[in-house]
Amino acid sequence: MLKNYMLDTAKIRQDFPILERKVNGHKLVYLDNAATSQKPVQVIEAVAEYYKKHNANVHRGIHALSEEASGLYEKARKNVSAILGADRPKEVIFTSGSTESLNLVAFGWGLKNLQENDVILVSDAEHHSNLVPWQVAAAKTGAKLALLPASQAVEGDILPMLKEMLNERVKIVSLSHAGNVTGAIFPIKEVVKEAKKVGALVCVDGAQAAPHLAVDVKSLGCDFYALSAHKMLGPTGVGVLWAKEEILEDMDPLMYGGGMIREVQEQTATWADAPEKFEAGTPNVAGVIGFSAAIDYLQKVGMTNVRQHELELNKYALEELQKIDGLNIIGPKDPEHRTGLVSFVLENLHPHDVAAVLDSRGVAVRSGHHCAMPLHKKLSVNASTRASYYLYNTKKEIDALVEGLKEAKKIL
Amino acid sequence: MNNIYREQLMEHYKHPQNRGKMNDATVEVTENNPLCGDVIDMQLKVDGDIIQDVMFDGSACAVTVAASSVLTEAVKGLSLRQAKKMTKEELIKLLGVELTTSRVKCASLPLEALHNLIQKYESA
Repeated sequence: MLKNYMLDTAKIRQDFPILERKVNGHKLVYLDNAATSQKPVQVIEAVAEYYKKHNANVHRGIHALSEEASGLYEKARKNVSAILGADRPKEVIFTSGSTESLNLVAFGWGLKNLQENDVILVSDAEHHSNLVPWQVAAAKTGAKLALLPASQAVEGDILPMLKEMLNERVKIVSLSHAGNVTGAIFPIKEVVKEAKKVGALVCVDGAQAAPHLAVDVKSLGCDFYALSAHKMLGPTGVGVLWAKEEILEDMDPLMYGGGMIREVQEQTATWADAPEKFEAGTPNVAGVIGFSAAIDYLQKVGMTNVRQHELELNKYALEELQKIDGLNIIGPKDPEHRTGLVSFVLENLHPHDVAAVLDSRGVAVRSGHHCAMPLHKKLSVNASTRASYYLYNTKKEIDALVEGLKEAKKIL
Repeated sequence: MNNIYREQLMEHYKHPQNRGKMNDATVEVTENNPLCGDVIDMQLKVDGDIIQDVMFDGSACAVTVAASSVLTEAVKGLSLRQAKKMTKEELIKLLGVELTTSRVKCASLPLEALHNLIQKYESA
């Protein structure tokens, strides 16, 4: 990989019509990719194409359209399986997003396998979607929920505290691959090694990592991996839970109904095998097909290139933002230790006001607690502002952010 | 959109009225905005049916602070019955700005606090 390599954004941006939009009289500078990414025409067209030419329900019909729709749907599953480095496509469950994926682990696996006094280990830097389901699963099973103080970890190095907290009572460790506020990349491979020593499973919330890093579930060694399509160029309403086949066999579905059964009697029923067991009802066929096109797009650009591009943006953004008086950056200082996002607090300025001033200049960022209230409490701030980039963002757009922040300081 | 940070709003944000704590409050509440984690405390001192004094405190965005300032100014001296009638539309009008949906929630936070205060007082 060439040092200082950056993607040809002028070419890439041609695929994203929305980036041509004007917002409040300014050219849109979209820096809210950690919330959701924009979609290339290839994805939009794949969805439209499906509705125009192939629309039918999957797995039910004998007719040609149903065959085509089922074929496209299952091809998408293979595509996901391939980018995750999974052994078998049937280990890929389509969900509505990582929230559903994590709920499926907490309730489908957790309620069946957790007992009183077992320990569920998460971190205090998790998105609510990797915390709240575990709170409820703990309450229902009598298991204890323990929080790794990741907010205090230097540069995202959670291993020392993890080793301290692991013991035989820990049955599952559920961590984000990359933080949605700090951007910190957790050393999942090493986490898995430690967890295996005490026989705990490892569930990874990959919502903020899969869009930005090459993910290989086999090399990570984890047992579950959750992701959302819409954060990685795909449509909203689609997510994935990948899990090892033997674990999926030992899990209950979250939803029951059509498509997930083997045989139904008047009073009882038996379930189909994974993945059908976990996909009751008509799935989001169009969304899944659109996601497959998003994967194709990312594969064509290359995930290592995406990562390299974001690293350059990281370096530049961290450097430029640090020059602003009273601006405090949350999370790792080393660009290599974070994915393509930076959250910060401007002294005495409320993030909502900062975001509103930026918006008036066409710069879209996120402000608030980013669904991580316990983390913000630990950091002793109510809220923060987050700029998150992707493969189409440029250094010039970071300049627009910095200029906007200076303006915010002046106005407020 | 920059126009939400207009003079009147900024004046109330930078020099808010009735910000702080009183020692002799009749009733007090804490209200939070789940969108951003902002929290404001509000206290009410009631004499008979009349709002003698009202104060707010906490860290919040410019819109919430300015709305709290404007609202507390507006309801001081009113009867509880009159204060209850205050709507968020009226409050936003008093603020003199146009707000997007997400910022309407910022402006209505103190109003919710006030309504809860009155309810708390009346049900006590």
